[in-house]
Amino acid sequence: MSDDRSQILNMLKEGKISVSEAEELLDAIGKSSDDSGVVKKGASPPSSRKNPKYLHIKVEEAGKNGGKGENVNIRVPIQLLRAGVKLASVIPDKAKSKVDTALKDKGLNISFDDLEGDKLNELVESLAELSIDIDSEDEKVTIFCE
Amino acid sequence: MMLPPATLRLRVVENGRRKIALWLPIFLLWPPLLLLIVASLPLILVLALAFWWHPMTRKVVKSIVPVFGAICSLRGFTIDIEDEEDEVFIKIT
Repeated sequence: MSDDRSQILNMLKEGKISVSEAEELLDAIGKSSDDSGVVKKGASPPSSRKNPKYLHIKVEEAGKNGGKGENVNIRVPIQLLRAGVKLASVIPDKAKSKVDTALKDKGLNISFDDLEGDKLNELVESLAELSIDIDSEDEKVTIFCE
Repeated sequence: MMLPPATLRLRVVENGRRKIALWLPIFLLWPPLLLLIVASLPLILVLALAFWWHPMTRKVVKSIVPVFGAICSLRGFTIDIEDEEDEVFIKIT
């Protein structure tokens, strides 16, 4: 946790500031921080980095009659992906083999056991290069890492 | 160092009206939870040793660190779904 963030939270804990004031301050820190990872509307996806922190999924739907369509903006920490793979190590072997078989049936020759250590790092690093843009008349889907 | 999430923001807007607007300081939960875990640690250890023969016990013990890691890595997770009148916003920091 950054010093500023912990200071604000301490001030809130001590009752020096209200919840709404703390929220505003935390927002301000988030906006000023360079690596906050927040996607600003209209901003183009950032250039690829060696170690991405977040996976962004954005769906922008064109609104009917010029109105605002449905927008979806999801930001998933890459660390969650790593944690998920580590959690996979506690999956029972029977269930693991079923998942592996299902993946193979779908044409994905990947095993949970393979996704550890260097291979996982390699996968995460290669995600930095990931950028998917699907542009149609009705909607625009963007998936990228930053 | 991995730290558990500190705050959770939840906002639900329905038909242009704010239904839910929560800012939950979940960091306040961690100190009492830590104390509770430390206090119950001897009991947990005894139970774990007593049932160590059972494969499930080993799985549960092995999953403690990964589960904690998964909780910590939730920081920064954001979901924002909105259209003209409705919005669902969840942010974990």
